[in-house]
Amino acid sequence: MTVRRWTFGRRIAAAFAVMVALTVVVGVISVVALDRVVASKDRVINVNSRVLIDAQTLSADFEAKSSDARGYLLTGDKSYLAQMTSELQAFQSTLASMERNAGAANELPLLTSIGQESNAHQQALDGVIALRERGVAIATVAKAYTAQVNPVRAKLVADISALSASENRLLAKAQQSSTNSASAAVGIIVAIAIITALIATALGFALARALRRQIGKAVAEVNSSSVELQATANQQATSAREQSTAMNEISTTISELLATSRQIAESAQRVAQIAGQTANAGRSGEQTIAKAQAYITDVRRQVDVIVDHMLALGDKSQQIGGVLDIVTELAEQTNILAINSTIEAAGAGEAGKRFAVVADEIRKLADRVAGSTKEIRGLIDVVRSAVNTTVMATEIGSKAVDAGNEQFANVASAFGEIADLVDTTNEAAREIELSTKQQSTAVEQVNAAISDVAQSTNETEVGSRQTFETASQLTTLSRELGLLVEPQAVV
Amino acid sequence: MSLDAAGTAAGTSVLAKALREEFDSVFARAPVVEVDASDDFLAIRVGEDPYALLFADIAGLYVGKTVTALPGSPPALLGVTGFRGDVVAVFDLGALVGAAVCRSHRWMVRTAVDARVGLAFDQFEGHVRAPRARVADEGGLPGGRGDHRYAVTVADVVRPIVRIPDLVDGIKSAGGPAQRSDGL
Repeated sequence: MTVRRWTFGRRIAAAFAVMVALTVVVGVISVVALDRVVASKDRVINVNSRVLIDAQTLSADFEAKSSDARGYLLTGDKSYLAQMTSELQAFQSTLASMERNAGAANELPLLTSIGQESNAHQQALDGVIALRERGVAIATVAKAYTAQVNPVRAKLVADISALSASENRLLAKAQQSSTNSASAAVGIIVAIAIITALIATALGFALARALRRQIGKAVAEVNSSSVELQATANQQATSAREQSTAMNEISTTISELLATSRQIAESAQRVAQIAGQTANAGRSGEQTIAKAQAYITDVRRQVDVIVDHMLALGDKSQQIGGVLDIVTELAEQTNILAINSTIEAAGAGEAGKRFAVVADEIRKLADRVAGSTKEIRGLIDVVRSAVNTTVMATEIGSKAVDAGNEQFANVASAFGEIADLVDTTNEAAREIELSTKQQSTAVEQVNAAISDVAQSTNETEVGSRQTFETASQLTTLSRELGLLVEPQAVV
Repeated sequence: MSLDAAGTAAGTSVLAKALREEFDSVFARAPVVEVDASDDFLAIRVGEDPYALLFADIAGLYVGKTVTALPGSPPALLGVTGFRGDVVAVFDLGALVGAAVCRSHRWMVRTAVDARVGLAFDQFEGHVRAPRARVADEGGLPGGRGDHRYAVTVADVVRPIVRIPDLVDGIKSAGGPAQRSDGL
């Protein structure tokens, strides 16, 4: 993730973290520098100044011991000796302490020399004191003092002075070193402070830039969004008004729908009544169809009887044809007999003329019988053809009756289905009636809900106005915020 | 249909009654003297061709006679048959008159000139009585033969008259159908 994508809070936190880190670094460096300075000063105070003080103390102890010795020598008072011993012990103690803490290179030889010269001074002084104790004259004692003690004393004083001077130089040097160390620490701290200030300035500049960029962009977006929100709120208010109008129209339509539903319920009730009547008519029709079917069955039976009779008639006609063949043959034989009789009568001459007349009449009869037989045969053929046609027509009629019977069965089945369907229709009409009543109730509830929705729409309109005002305030606020972030780029 | 049948039955009874009355009236009336002379003919068909046979030339008409064929006989001789003990030679009339050969030979006549000669033909159509004025000399049929010099017209049908005696003479003169001078 790049820095550009960091949030502003994260950037501030990072900047604060950097600043805190720099502060910690500055603090640590300052502490270290101060510690070094303090250590240097402590060393100046605790070592160099102490050595100098010890040197001064050593000089003071030596001078006090010398004073006590001169007091005894002058007065002979023994208390001075005791004090001198005490001062000597203090001198030796201070000297021993200085020898233990000696740090400089030339310090220890000076202290050793001071110790040796102190011992020499004490021996010289003890000799003079012994003179004083033995009661030697003061002048002698003074002379001995001057001769024996003063040179040693002067040398010792010179060494102590040299020691003090050396310690003073060390002290000055240590002080200079400490001052340099403190100055270096101050310089480092100042440099780090400057760097920290520069970094803080850079971070502040970056943060300000980011603030301008991000917050300015956000302000612009907020401003744009607030303008859009204003427009949306305005549109919402307009839509809410239109919705309110539509709700009123819907309420009116629902009222009409309610009236229509009631009319549908009444119509469904009438449909149920008519369906019941239709069902009764269908059952009556079904019974009628059953009767017609029974009649058709009778017709079918009668047609079968007719067919049987026609077939019997055909058989009889055939039998008649057979008889007619016999008659035809008889007529033919009669004709032959008549012709032969005529021939025989002609051969008989005058005696056969009357017989010829009879034979001729018989022949005529035979001819007429033959002609009638032909006619009868023709009639029989016509009858047989008619019988065949009738049988065929009857068969067709029988099939038609069968088809009609089947159709009647279908019609009866259709009537049954119609009755069932009408029952279903009746039931459906009742369900429609019940559903329509439920629908009316539901429509009333919907009407109430529509009223609630209309009220909600009015409330929405009010809310939209409030939203519009809030959006206006938000626009003003975003402009003010933009002024805070980037005055010259206010929208 | 039934009405037609009833009508037909009634018509048949009426016809039978008319026939009966006409038959009876013939014997009740006085004998009719024929002013115009007429001849009786048999109307026959040889194949599909109509012919007429003069009653005077035949001795009898028969039907359904059984003819026994003779081996080695000429084509016109169908065979022989018996009439109460008499053997009659049966000839094909179609072959004799030069017409188509008869198909059935169901009908047969015995000739008056020689009762031993029989002529078989296809179909007997009836008895025809025609005035002699209606017998005309046809001068022979197309491609005809000398046997057909006359013809009788009955019901607008011209029927050549078969001269049976000439046929029998031809058969006899030839000593058989194969030896006839006219080729029969």
